[in-house]
Amino acid sequence: MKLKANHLSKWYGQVIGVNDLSFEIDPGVTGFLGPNGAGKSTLLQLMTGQLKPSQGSITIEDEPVWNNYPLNRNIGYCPEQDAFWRYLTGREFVQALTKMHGFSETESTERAVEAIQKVGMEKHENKKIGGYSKGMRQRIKLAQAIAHDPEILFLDEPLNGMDPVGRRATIDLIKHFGQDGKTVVVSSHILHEVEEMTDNILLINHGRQLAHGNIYEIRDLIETHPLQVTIRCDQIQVLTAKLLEFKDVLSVQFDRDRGQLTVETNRPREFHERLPELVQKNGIDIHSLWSPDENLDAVFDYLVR
Amino acid sequence: MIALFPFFLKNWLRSNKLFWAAGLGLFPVLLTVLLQFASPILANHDIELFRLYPQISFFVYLHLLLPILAVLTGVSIINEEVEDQTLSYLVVRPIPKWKIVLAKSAVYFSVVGAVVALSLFLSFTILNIQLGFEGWLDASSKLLQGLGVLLLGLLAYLTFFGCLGAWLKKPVLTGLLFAFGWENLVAYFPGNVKYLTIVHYLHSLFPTFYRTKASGILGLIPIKFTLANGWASFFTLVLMSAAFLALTCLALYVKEYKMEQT
Repeated sequence: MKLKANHLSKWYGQVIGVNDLSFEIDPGVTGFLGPNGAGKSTLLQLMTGQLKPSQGSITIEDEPVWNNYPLNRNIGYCPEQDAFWRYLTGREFVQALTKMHGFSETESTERAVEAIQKVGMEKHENKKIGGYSKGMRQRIKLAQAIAHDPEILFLDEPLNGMDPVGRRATIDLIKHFGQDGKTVVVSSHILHEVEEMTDNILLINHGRQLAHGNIYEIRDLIETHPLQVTIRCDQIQVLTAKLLEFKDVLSVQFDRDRGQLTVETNRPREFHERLPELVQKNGIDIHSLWSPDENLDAVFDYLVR
Repeated sequence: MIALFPFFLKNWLRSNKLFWAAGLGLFPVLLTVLLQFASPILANHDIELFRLYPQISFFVYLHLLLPILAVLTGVSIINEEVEDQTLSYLVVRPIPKWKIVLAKSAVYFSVVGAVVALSLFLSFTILNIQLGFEGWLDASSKLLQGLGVLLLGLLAYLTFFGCLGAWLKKPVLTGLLFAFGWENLVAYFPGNVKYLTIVHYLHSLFPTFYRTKASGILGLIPIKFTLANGWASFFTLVLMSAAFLALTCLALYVKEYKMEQT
């Protein structure tokens, strides 16, 4: 299912929640990235019809989401807030919310049990939520979001408070949903988490859209921001000298002890195209090559700055 | 509604709200027990215990227990889902928002109504214990009449306070001011302003007290009412309740409840 925001804005009096966002989200996993207070939760609440846009529109399959309850049949939402009816057990919580989708008692129970198994909470399903750890509460929230098998999943900071094992399992589950053709929107302020789930991101800060698309495409768009490439090879000095002949190479730092050099270039694509020929021509043996800032942290830091 | 009612009922019954609602409901019962113990003293003042039921049901139930229970529970019908931030789970379901309001209101009315009914039944029984079963049975029409009015009053108050809870951020204080300020003062004002209270219509449906000629010290209580027509009062209260429910539903459709990060 396709999700579309068109000049979407939301403000509360003088305070801007999100400002003039336009994007389209297709099936697969999309990460919403931004620091705390960037407007991610507001955006998710707008997307799930909990808030009304002040300006612009947000649609799912060209239908507006505000006060459009039949659309919720296709939506699963895992809120960020640690909120529950604490007197219920995990299973009662998931089952009751699943039943609200129109399933029978038996079917909603079956679906709840299945969802609880998917998030690995079957051992704790009959305990009261009030007695759960933070990680368990996160997982049971996720179970209620997936139990009715929605086409679109909105997950607001789903990995918060999870232990490494739970984190890994949840990341795999989210990726699995994306591979199944579902539209999954995951918000997070922890970049490496999202990086593990998807390459497709939407960066926001102060309610404004900084970038949207594939992380590497976004990276290429940032032409003025130098890219660092670290190369481990056997002839550091020769390679350094040759690289400094290129106009787009801004600096080269080499580390003899480690046998590596770090190049800073403002034309990353051209640099990568030229490098193989240069290495081959000069008989340089490259052991490894990587770009330390070609990850979300670097892009995020640069764009938010 | 089928999925929502048992869900909200289960939550209510497991929460501590049931304990304090039952505790409040127990208060008039304890009062009648005390009166039972004090019956020899009351007899010296020419007061027969079974004749106190109208006064107890009027002052203690209608003017005290009912508004307190209705304020404390009514304002939380929607407000608690907002404050506990659980509203998010409900409004992202494929159910119209008015069903959430109706189901929660129905649960609150059922549970608080049961507490009031049980409490009134016990109070009535304790006050009429000396009459024996036959006498209790003869007098039970008063019990049913009083219970009917109290339940109608509960409906009107609950829906009103539910409406306050859906529209206002701090509804409890406003609710208490309404219940124990506005209602207790304005209902006795001359002119038409009394029609803007709920209790005015309840007085009209609660004729037992006025028809009972109070004797002894109770006869000294100087209260006079201008009563409205009984059926008109009944329909007014029903219409008021429907209007308050509709306004509560409207709040969920037009108002946005921003769930804060924790």
